[in-house]
Amino acid sequence: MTRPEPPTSPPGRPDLAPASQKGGDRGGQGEERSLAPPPETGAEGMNGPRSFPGLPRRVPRPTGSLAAVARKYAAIVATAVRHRMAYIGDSLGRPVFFALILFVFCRLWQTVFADGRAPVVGFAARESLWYLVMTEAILLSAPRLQGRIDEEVKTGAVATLLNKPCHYVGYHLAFALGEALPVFLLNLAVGVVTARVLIGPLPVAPAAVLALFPAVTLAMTLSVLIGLCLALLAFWVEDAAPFFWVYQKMLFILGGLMIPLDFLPGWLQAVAGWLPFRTILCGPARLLVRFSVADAGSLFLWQAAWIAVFAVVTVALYHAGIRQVESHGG
Amino acid sequence: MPGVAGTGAADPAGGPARRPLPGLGFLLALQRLNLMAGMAYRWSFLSQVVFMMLNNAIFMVFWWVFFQRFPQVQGWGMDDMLLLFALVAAGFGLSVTLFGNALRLSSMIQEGKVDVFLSAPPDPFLHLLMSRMSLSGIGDFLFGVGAFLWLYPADPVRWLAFGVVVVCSGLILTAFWVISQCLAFFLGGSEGISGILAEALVTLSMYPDSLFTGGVKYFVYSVVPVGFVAWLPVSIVRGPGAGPLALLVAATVLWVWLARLVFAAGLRRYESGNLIQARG
Repeated sequence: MTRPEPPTSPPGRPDLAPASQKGGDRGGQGEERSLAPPPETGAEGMNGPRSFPGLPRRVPRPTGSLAAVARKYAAIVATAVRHRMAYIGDSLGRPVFFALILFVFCRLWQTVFADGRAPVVGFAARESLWYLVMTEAILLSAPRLQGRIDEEVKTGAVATLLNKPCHYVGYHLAFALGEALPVFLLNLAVGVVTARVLIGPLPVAPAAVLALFPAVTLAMTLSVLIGLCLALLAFWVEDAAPFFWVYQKMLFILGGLMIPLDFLPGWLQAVAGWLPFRTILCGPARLLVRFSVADAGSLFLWQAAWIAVFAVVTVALYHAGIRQVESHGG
Repeated sequence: MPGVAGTGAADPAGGPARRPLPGLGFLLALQRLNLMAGMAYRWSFLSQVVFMMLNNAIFMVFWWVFFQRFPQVQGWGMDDMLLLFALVAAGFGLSVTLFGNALRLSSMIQEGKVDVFLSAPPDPFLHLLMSRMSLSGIGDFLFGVGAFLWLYPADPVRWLAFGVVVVCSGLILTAFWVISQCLAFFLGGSEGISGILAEALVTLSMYPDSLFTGGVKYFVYSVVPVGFVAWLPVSIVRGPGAGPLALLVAATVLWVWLARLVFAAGLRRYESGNLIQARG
């Protein structure tokens, strides 16, 4: 059984059906796209096909000044925000589920700490629930790439982005971040209201609020890059969905989704400390509950390092995979 | 085009003519074909089964960590959680493996994909539900059975109880999903609400019942049958007894009957999209 996934695509019953049996993404991706033959000439920065049938073996590179490139990707982010806002109704199921999870864990933490049990490393029922507000808000808002990117790869729709003046990875990263923004704000609002009603407010340092903006942005970026890596494995395997299931569970345990990593046994904390998952969920959530400048600085450094690693891996996977694509028009 | 659902001779009341339930041979053949189709893609099949088992095992790591820190939650310990999860996973796996379309009914109704089942001779209820198999469900089922055998390696009475309650649990899950998905017959686009109800049932069933008190307890034994899917089966396996078992079987019959009733009522409102498609 798998947990529900973030609502990047219209609601249905995510998780339970293999990606290959899903479709109808209103974002326009998926099997409904037609496979256009690659243009032979004219696309800026694009080589013509070397041995037709097949695709150009080199992908276009963004050209122009850094500011122009930034404007281009900012426009993609803005488009994604508008796209998600247009279908915000599709995302309303997540907050309901979010509130349900908070209710269950509120009861769990209240039960655990009901008999006067001392806080564990500074976490009592209130802190534990507010910690969950942040981790769940990030997880439920992270764009769902499963069933989207891997479907593009499997159906060949990946080719439709080859003649665009932007990098495939950059495009999807920008689009996913744009989609995540309104959903995260919605989830956070629901989480804050629900937690306040269920267990009361949490005093938060102003510096923590300021630190959360970059922390969550970097966490989302890393999450998208890891998702892209997994989805791009569809170039080599029939179905990338199982990798997503395991990744999701890694986030549960080693990312500290439901309980802070401080609750884990020492050896498991050490393992988690060397992996990227904690910087996606536990790191930002700890800033909310137990802020310190040193923790924030360390988190930003780890996030930046992991983003660099996964950016390189993602681009390398994409370039290795795209060489295998054969398109015959249609 | 209202009323297309009732193709064929109408009964005197104006509803669709009653058609025979598909025979056991037909249903077994459907399952066999579903399985063969799934196994045609060897990596996909194996990965879905194995990774789902791994996925479930990792989820149990959360509870292991939790109970390392807090050994008891109102009488529930690690073994109780493992038993709960084993039952729910096995029931869930059984349901989505045998009735793979139960969670897709809403979108099928909206997209007019029910038509193809209405034109076939057998009664569409089971035919539709069993025309797809979720391969990952096999992993859920195997995990559930494995976890149960880990807990009770040599206890035939409990094995028998486990078998009965898993079947009941799977049938109630399926029936509840069918009812929630059938909202599409009446409301149109209801994937959102149907999805929330399905998730609520599965999510709540993975936590101890002692967390829920008062009005919530009534809610989870009635509107959303978590109690019958998870907690009553746990109590039956812990200490098999005729009374609770009879209650579970009665609840199963009631939920299945309700699902059939709602589906039939929905079919009377179904409007065909005149979709022409070939079944793969």
